[in-house]
Amino acid sequence: MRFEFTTEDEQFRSELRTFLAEQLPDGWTGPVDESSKDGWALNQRMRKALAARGWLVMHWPEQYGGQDASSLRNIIFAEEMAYHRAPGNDRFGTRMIGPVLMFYGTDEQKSKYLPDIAAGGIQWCQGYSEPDAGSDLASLKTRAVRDGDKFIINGAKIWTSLAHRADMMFMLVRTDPDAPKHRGISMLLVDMKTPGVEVRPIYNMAGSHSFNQVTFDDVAVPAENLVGDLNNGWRVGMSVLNYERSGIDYVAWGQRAWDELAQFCRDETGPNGLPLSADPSIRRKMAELDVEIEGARLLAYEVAWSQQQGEAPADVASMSKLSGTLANKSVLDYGLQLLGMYGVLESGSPHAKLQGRFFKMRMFYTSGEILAGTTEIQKNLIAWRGLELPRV
Amino acid sequence: MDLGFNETEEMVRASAQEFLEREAGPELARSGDADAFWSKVAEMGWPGLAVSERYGGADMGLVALGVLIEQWGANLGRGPLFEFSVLVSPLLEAAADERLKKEILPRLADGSSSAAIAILEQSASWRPEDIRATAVKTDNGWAITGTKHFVSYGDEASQILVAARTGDRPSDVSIFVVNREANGISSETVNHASGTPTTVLTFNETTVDVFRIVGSENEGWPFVEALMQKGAAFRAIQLAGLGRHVLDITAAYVKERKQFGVPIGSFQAVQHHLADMAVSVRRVEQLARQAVWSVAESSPDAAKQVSRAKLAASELIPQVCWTAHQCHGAIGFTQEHDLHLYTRHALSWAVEFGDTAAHTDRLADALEL
Ligand SMILES: Cc1cc2nc3c(=O)[nH]c(=O)nc-3n(C[C@H](O)[C@H](O)[C@H](O)COP(=O)(O)OP(=O)(O)OC[C@H]3O[C@@H](n4cnc5c(N)ncnc54)[C@H](O)[C@@H]3O)c2cc1C
Repeated sequence: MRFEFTTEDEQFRSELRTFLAEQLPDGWTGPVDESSKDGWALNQRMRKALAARGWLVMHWPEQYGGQDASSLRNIIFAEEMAYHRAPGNDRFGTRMIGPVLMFYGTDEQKSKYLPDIAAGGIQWCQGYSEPDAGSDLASLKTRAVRDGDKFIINGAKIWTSLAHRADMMFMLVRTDPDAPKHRGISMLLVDMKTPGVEVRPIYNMAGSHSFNQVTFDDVAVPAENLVGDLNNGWRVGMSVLNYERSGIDYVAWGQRAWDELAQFCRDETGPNGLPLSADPSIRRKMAELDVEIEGARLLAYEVAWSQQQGEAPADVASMSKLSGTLANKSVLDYGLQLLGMYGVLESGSPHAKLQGRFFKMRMFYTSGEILAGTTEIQKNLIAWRGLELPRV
Repeated sequence: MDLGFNETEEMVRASAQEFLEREAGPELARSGDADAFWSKVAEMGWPGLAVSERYGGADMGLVALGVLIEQWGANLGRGPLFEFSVLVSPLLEAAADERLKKEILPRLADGSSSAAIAILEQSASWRPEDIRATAVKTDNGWAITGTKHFVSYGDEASQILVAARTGDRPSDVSIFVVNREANGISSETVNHASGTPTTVLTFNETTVDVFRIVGSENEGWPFVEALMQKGAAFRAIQLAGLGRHVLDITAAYVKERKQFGVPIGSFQAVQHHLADMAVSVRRVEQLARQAVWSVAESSPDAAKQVSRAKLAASELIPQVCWTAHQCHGAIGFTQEHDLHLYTRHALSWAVEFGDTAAHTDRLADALEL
């Protein structure tokens, strides 16, 4: 047993920190609002810079332009990026469809898409959820019908993050309506500029445009855009979820918020003239939150470590996502409590403390327990797969 | 013991519910302009519900007002009803100069003008030593100088209740009713999560007539205490109403939304969420109604009951809202869905009139710990 990273890994962490300090705007506190023009420009600039350093796809095999970086090295990358609220880490391309193509893609698909992803030159989005297919994703209805050398797509996807920025979508479609629901699904790659694709913005409750509804009206896609075998899309599509379910991003966001709150407590004077950080009730709560974060961090590390051993324990991935989202939420909730009446001043307001960030983040991270498998679904998976409890 | 509503209370409840479901709710909360709504509220006679008849009110008492505010919370009523009827009018009736009462109360009670409170300063604390704004005597009255934060409806109101320091001891605070049109008042708008129009008001040697002091010089702090207590009790009942409404819309949603071929409300995980919400809401309702009643009755236990109610409401009702988001999935995370409007109000009310830390300390004191 050894609860530390190797010297090389730590060296990488500090190189990455130096890089981020250089690349991010002065006094950067994030998070970036990618719905704004400036926010998106920063995302693109950071992504290119990461690609230039070889870090964007360092977890990829060398043959595809990666560095074969270990899962543990990779989690350091994700942790630092999230902690610094640095934009540019392209999960849809580098973490989802890239690895899927390496495993299931044709040679043409690999050579067509992988180099662009590695260079940070293409934006992907994930077209899975539909209005009536959320937790029950396998009930998705968007139809694709083979017509000569094309598939014709009709239907609607929803909650599609970044569809308004995307060049391409990887999507799940129903190709055999008569088969049992998991067996009639296929994965297709769709150019977002294809006639018949329409993207409608949906604003989230934190006030930004992060996701969309995407409708398909007789959209013709070349048959060679099928990924994996016809009607094997469920398996292909699910292979991205384990990445989605690592909780390290949430842990790092929670840690960052904790650090900001701790600094706030050191700086602010309480009613008795002492810093808030001298108040016993605050000290206790901050210590409790620290335990929650550290526990969640270790679960995220465990997921990475197991992957390095060649295992992929789905229940631990679920535990990690669950613990990470909860820890992050707990810190933000306590932050709002400590900020009191200032906590509910919106960012941009005069007099808002910590730039009104805690309120915005609390609103935004409400989604953490919903996306990529809700908390309830994660608990079901832990009970069923991890503990082998009976299913009703 | 009678935990039900009497005839008058039930009448207020039913008419408030009927009116507010029709006229208020999310649509009103989203629209910037609430003038038309406010005129209808005035027609209902609500600003004067608890004001004495001699000043143009209906004299129905604070418990009936609590019943109204519970519905006001459930339907996100907009406009300075709370500020005047809960906070300003009881204080003025109890302690203001007769001339001032005659001059302003009838117009406030019929809704043709409105009031705001300007007590908290940058510290946002309810302790007397944190009142730094000063009032100094002049030839024909007072001159107030200082900055007040978190003034709801500070630009809309015609009368502002201001707490200012008039002596050197921590509790040497006096209360004034300042005409919003008076000299030397400037305002700065802040964006409040609830969407309630909120300002920072700065007074620069603002002149106040001598009859506009409430009670005696240096004896205003007990009024502020009483006002904070009322504010806390009524925020608690307002949160109870909001929580009940959020529970109702969530229960309706989980019956209707289907996944895996069945309503999501048939999953035990979801049912337990709803059950937790129901327990929280019912507890807060009873604690808050008890608090309002004990304030209305000037019960010796009022301090305890109010802090209990405010602590429970501030902790549990935001939690009810978060659980509601969880049960709604992605649709409840959107701006176009109404749920976040309730969440924003719940988070805001939870920290007003004493946040968790303040009421925990007050309760511990009241429990003689
Ligand atoms: C910010 C954000 C970004 C997103 N980005 C994308 C994206 O890029 N691409 C994409 O395809 N999708 C995306 N999604 C969609 C996301 O995957 C779905 O929201 C998620 O799968 C849940 O589905 P739903 O919202 O329809 O909720 P529902 O499935 O309707 O769930 C509602 C409630 O019912 C509960 N429930 C459902 N089934 C069960 C069960 N069997 N047992 C117990 N409880 C249950 C849920 O846990 C939840 O509490 C995004 C969502 C969000 C919030």
